Amino acid sequence: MHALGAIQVGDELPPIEAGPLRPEEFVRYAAASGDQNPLHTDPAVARSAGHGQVIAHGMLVMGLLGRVSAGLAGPGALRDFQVRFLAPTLPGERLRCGGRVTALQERAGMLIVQAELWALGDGDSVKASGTLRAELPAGAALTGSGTAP
Amino acid sequence: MIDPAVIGRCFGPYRVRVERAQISAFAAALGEMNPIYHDLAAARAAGYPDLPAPPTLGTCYGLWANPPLLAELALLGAPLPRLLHGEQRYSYHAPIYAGDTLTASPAILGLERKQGRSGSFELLTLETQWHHQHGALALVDRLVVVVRNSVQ
Repeated sequence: MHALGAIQVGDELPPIEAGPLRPEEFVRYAAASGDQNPLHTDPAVARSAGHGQVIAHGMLVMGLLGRVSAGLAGPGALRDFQVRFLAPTLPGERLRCGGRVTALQERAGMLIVQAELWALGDGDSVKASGTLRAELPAGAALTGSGTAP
Repeated sequence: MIDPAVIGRCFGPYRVRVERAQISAFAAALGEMNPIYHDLAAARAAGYPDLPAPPTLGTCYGLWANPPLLAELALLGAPLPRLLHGEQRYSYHAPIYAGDTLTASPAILGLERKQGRSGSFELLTLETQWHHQHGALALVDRLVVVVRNSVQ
């Protein structure tokens, strides 16, 4: 029996929307993360690398998925978080980032939660997909606040 | 092409100090405005001893933010202009907070040759085990980088 409000397989994590993304956001992310690869900030470098324009840092997209994970688990409760980058994200695109609980297991009074994650761009193109595993107190609910210890 | 003998090669060690200002700026660049990442009092009220690391903070200390490590890979035949991020995995073993000092020696775990539509490429797997100042394993960062054999 699950308590009212407890996490269920199939529950969707509160989604996050971003964009339309602006090149200045890539510049800001580059400075904050220390990733100064000009592929993300210099259109001439991006063109010489075979892209039409600068592309978003993959880790910017994973960072947005990290925000989605906060709907389930605070930074102390995440155990594993992995993402595959499937397509470049360009300026002007909107991203819709979400996730869904795929498995639950109770062990030693804790709830082990697995979820799948996705980042969709314009036209539902899949930019990134991933998974997470978190360890929560039994009976935990989706919070969206990211403050679970 | 990269010599398969690079598998097992270690780099560093690299040491980083986790700074409050970096946590706050990094979270803000992701649009993450939860006060636990920006305000010490809010973090403490939520039960954390200091600002906690957002889930992907490790990237601030990883390959893309480490010019000496990028230079090492360039010497092995994997220069930055031919690299793309393929996959990223973080395994969380102990919490990381502002004020911590982390140390790691990234290692090449694997090298795989692939054939794609636009030519051959290699997948280089780099694993970084970050340890806390007291020796405990904190974070395992496993990064798969796509090394294109031409940039077109």
